[in-house]
Amino acid sequence: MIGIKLDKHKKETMNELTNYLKPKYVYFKIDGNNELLIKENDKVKMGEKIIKTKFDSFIHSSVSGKFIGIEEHIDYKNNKAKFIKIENDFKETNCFNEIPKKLTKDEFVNLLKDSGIVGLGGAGFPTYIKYDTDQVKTLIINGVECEPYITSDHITLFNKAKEIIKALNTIDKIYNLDEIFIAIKTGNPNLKEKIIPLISKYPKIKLVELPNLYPMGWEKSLVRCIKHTDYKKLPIEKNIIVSNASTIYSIFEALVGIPLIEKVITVSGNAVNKPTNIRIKVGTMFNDLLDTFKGYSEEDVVLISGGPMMGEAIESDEFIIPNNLNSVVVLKNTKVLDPITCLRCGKCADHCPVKICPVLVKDNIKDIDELKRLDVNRCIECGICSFVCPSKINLREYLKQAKKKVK
Amino acid sequence: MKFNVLKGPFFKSKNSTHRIMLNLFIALLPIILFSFYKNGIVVYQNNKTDIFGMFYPLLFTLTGIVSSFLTETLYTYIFLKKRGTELKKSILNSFSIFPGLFVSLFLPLNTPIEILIFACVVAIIIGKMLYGGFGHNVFNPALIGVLFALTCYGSIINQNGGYINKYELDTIGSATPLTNYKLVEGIGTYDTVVKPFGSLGDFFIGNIPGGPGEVCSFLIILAFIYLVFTKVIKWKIPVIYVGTVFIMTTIIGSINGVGLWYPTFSILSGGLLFGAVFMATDPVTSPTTSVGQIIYALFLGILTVTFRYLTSAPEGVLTSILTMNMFVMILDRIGSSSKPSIKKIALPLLIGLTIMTTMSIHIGNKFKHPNGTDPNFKLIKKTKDYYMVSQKGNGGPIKAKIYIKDNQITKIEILENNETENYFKLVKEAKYTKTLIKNQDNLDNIDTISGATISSTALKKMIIHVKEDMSK
Repeated sequence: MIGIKLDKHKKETMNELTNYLKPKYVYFKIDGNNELLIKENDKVKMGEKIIKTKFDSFIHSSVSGKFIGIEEHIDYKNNKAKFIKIENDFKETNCFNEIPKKLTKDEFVNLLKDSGIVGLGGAGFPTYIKYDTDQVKTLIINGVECEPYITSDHITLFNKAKEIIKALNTIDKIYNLDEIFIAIKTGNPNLKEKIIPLISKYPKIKLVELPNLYPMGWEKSLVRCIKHTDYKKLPIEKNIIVSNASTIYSIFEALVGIPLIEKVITVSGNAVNKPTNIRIKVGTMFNDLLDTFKGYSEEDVVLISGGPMMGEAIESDEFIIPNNLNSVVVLKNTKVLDPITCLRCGKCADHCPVKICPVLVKDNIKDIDELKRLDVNRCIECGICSFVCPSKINLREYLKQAKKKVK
Repeated sequence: MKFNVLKGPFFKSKNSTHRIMLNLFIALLPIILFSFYKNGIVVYQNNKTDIFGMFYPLLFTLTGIVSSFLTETLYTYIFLKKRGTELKKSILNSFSIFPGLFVSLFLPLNTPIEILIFACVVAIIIGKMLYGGFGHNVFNPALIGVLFALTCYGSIINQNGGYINKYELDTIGSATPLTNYKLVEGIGTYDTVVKPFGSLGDFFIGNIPGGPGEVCSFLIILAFIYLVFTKVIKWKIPVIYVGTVFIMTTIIGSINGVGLWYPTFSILSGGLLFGAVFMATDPVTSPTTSVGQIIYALFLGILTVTFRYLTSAPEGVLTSILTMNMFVMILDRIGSSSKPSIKKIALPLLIGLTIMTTMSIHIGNKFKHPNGTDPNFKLIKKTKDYYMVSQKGNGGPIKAKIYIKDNQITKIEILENNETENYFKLVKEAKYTKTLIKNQDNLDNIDTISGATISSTALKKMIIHVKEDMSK
């Protein structure tokens, strides 16, 4: 089995959940690819469709209030972008719909599209596209969360286990599945005890515990470990859908009429005073949460949107939290060691989960034909090569470059 | 508040190149100390050397380390024109002590010190710096230095005593197990191959003559375990390399009807274990992909056996590793393609295994001979007055005309030889043929000539065979 052991740092936030559901303003990114459905000074209701995305899905206002203008902010990838700004009137007038109890597959797919459900594992890919199929036999619920610090899936799975299982049951009725796996990590007895009695009524739902390795939460390793099979591009080739646990919870909410307007994010790391999970409105500015996690314990930090392995450093804490971000990790700034000459030890190649040889990618970074031969597009940017490199060479950066070059 | 924008991942493993090199040094330390014990303390205890001679093995290694460090530092200063912190950084990150350290563990302890220093200079400059320094060299720098010293100054080193320390000279004689092995008949017997040096246990604990670093198999195996445990070396290479040699010599041995002691002797003698654990695994000059490593190690084994049996050199480890160093890039190319591992490795593995078996069978049959005859001895002509014979020496057959009268040898006339001139000169100078004639009824007790062991032994054997024939 491929993977590495990382320090988990999960204890700090495993049982912590607070709410921050009354932001003064919320912000939603607009760019050339999506269509704005409201005009400036329009009043909006909570749950109202305000943006149509390029995938024909929607973004909903997470508060009720007024669209007061367009501002420039940084997004969670540290890029400047335009955001619409909605001022909260705190009235919480909503426009949630009644959803019929029984749904056909097409109605269900449309519901996912209308509710703006996206993969909450981080990719943010519209979920309705995944579910628009007749092939699915197996559903895998990803509750593995292999990145250090992050516990938002855990806390959702723990607190909302009943709701998630209810949603799974509904999905099963629509698709008539063969089996459903809820994948969690080993060494999480509380969660296990919580889930087992709840699934006892549903013979199709099984709980699987997977080893504590990174990147276990990657779809391919999940499928490999649970179903012992491999696919080329998408799990549906083997009649499998993999969905994140938090995504299933947002499907539950969609089934009762609430679109994706709230989510849980983990704020943790060795430079925050009170690491915690926070339930927030989508579109909240991260800076607003300062009081909730009691500020930073250090002056000189690295603020990472996402986990420490795959996340991105952000230049300011005034960035907007989108619907697909599940954690912010703030770490003390430790001095980065200068890379030295590659020793050619091959540890990067040994540990690569997609069997690329990163050192050769680095050597041949200018040779596009060679990069094609090395098939760099398989790279999932998990960062293990950079992690294990004894010479401290950031190989992932070379791979990112290489991927751009062969495109 | 300062938010630093750095590139992830923000977790880094604690392992570092410096830690890897430190572990490598730790693994070598017992081996260095063993050489000090065997070639220094034991010799001193037996009153064969003075206090300086006792510490000489340590001094030898230290000289290697210092000269390779100084060479690289001076090179960096003069030719790469690095100064100040840049020079410091370059010294800290280039691990320049290792080529010299390995040279000193590989070369015979009796190598004149100036040759050792010269070998280290060659290792660093030709083996490493001309390629661009640490991480860029194609060949293993230490082996380049050793090869240079042995080919250019081999005879001087041998005259100086070669691998044998002063205590061993008295107790064991003047040959290492592999030079002795070159002289035995066919593939030898336990009595001729192992017994002169004690038992296989002596091989295991290093109680045999040989290079300072290479004799103690036990410590090398311990070092291997340590290095694998600390993830410094690629375990596949030594295991497959030594395994291949073991399997091939098992086949060769079984064709000739000898037991498992034979392959065991083959892997415990010479620099095989030391080379497999420390030299073949040098990260810079071995493949990075695991498919590459498997093929690399397999061919190392095949080459080592081939060199040992089919060339005049007693040892094949050094040349095999340097040869395979050239193919690392190609092997990594095979290993890095996006095909599944099985498909990548199938063809080269098939070729390798085929060569491995055919080569073993070929060697096994070549050395097979009817009991009691020496395949290295040829009776060309026999008359009433003389024998025309040839006996394989170091460089090929030595042809001689041996005059007899009244069942006694009266004169030995060497007609042709391809022996290395410097060595054969020693035989001539010692008037060895005269000694042989004088002691022709008591040949077993004649010593061979140190520094020209193979040539003198060949002559001795030749006379023994002639005497045997005469007594028929």
